Amino acid sequence: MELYVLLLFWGMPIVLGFVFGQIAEKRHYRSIHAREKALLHLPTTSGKLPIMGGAPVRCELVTGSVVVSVDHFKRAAAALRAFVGGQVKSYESLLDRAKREAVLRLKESCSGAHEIVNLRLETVPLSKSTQGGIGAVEVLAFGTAIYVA
Amino acid sequence: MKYAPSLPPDNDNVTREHPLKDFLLLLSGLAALALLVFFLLGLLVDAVVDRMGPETEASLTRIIAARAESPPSGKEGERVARLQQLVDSLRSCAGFTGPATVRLTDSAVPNAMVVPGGTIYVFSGLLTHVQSENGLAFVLAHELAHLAHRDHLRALGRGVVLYGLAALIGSDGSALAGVLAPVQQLGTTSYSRARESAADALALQVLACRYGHVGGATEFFEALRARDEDALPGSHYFMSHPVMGARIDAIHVAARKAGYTTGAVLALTR
Repeated sequence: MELYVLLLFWGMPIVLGFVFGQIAEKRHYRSIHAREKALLHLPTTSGKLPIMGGAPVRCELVTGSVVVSVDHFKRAAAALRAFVGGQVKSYESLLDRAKREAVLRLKESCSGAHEIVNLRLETVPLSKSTQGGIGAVEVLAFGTAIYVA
Repeated sequence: MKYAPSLPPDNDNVTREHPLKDFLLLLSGLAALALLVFFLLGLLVDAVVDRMGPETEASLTRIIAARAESPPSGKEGERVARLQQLVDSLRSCAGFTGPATVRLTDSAVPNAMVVPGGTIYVFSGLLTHVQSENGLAFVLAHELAHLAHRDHLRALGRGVVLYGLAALIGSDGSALAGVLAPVQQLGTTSYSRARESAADALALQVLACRYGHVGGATEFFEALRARDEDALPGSHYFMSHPVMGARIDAIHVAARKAGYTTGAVLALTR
């Protein structure tokens, strides 16, 4: 009997995390793919100099940031992985989504720009020290938007 | 070179594997490993307990034993004295020479238990669930068998092993200990069921030795069977004690094998 209760409390967050995490992830990727296509006209590079030519009339700092949470399924998978080592595959899609979403938000904040240079990404883990707390990650994208005449 | 905007054909930064594959593979592997390690360390504990001399056991008992409460007086005292007499009459049959003190606890739960130091706690609910002295003697013999088998030391040793393992795993990620918690429970309860069956077997011998027959042996379990039947199906895998029906059958089989007969049971003075 106790084990039924234990299994329920143990399995419920993992099952819920898996179901809702997968739904959220699929939906997010659909949105990312569509928006990346729509914003393809705005080049974003990490170099110092513009690549598109034209005379800049205005530059500004632009940012985009996003916070994505781990779900219990990904966390359980990572906990198991941490014991034997190796690639933490369950977190790969999480960070991939966060980085792409941050860049998309940055681009959306300056859709009239000609191009973006000096793109940088910063990743900050949140609630790292909270015991038993579920982890989240913030990704901040920042760069310089260049407007031409 | 002219810059031509395009999207990469596919994303190599994210695994294409199904997310469950990695999880299930790791979970089953680590669970099997945890069970194996726990099982092997359990065998080690058994080996140590079996080889332990009486002096070591006595000194261990001094450390962990709960102090028995002083005997009650009056009517309650008489009941305890009768139970004590019954236990004392079973001791030589159980081959148990250590201390065994009976204490009565006021509780409707039909149960009895032993604590380190040889105190047998009889819950008053037990006395209403048995009809005869023989039925009560079987339950008390079962508890004596736990003492004779040093089951409390085995349980203690396993507890130490379990905490040790949990601490070891917990030091680099308490999340793993949580993920593997059901496995621990499964391992512990199946072991516990085996010890209960061993105690039942010895109790049957004690009963046959004391009364010359094994009448009344299944009395208590029969009384509990009705309650057991409305438990969830499959829940017996996770219970620390065997299901009543299975225990009763096991007792019948053991009695037949040993050639024990059943005879008239003695009335119980409550």
